[in-house]
Amino acid sequence: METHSRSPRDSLRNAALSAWLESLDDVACSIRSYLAEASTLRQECDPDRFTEQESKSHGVGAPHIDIFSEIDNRIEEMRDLEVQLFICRAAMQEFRNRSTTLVPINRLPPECISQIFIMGSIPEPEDKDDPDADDPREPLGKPFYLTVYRVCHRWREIALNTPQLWISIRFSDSAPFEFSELMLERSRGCPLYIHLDCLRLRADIGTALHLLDVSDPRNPDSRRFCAVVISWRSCVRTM
Amino acid sequence: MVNLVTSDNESFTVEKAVASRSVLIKNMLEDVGESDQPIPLPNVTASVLKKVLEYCDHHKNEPMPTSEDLAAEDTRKRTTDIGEWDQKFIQVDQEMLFEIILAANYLDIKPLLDVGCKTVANMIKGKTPEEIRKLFNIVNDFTPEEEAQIKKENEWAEDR
Repeated sequence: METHSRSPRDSLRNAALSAWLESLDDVACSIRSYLAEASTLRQECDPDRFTEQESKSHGVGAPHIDIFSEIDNRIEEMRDLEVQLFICRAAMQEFRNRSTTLVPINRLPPECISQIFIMGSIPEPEDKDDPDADDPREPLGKPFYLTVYRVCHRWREIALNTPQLWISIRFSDSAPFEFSELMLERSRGCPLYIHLDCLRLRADIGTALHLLDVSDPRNPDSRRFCAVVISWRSCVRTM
Repeated sequence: MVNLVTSDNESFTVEKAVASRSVLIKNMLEDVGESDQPIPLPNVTASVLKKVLEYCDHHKNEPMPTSEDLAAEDTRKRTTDIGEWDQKFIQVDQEMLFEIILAANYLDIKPLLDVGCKTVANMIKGKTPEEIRKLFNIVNDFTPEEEAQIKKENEWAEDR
């Protein structure tokens, strides 16, 4: 690897990179060897390859019981190693995403990304002449926040710290309302737009109202309701 | 006239009305009063400032957004369609688009910041996370815990 040391700090960085590359090569070597040994072990101890004598004297699988137990004991360890490698890869990928040369959008500070998310999450008014065009609506397709918070770690963190993304809460499933509860929490102190779909909620309407606690004026959430839309059959009532 | 000096040491002499679209520059001009002193802009390069000034010049006669317009509650009203001229203006490559957003943020030109952010939002809209990653050269860097949490939340959201 070509190095251009300009300062002691650069030398340290180059040394760290070289050491990491070397250890990655070591891991690759170890994994190749590990895979080969695992293959050999499976072949050598394959119960289908027992001699007739072995099978008669010990029963099928009997001579290998210690081997199988040993493998069984090590399964958790193998899983842990995989998880550690996964975690390390995720950390390196997160680190790589911080390169503003590779990922120019990451030059934008969190407040700009947050603003992009807020703008993207507001549905376009369907009809500009419609006097209710500013009313909150459920956007068509998947909500914007559900897409952007699944892109990468940084975007997820920014989305979780943008309360305005989580303000349009629709109750149309059945209790427990895990996601709605999550949205209530993530929307923090922002004004809320609540949609209660009575037809689909049926008996769970009580649970939804209890979660919102609309009847209790002491509930801080009830003071931030901007609009509560209750729909049943084809009727929609806005409170 | 106002003299602006970029990070790469290029000078731009522009009308006060154009420069004042930037709240940062407007405040600086108000603070220093009438002066021939150049205003240094250490966070903006010449190529980006040229583009930003093109926007400011086009919009110089429009009323400045009031603090009410800029209040958080009014975000919805600010996010209407991008005007035709602005749409053409913002048709630039990704690098320049992000530089314009950064400059608008630094120079405090809210309408330009809105145009930039809205443009990026429109690029994202309707795409899957994988398509967005590809568009911006981002790699999936979630830890197993985050993946599991996202999967669980997604299932909750899908059930609604």
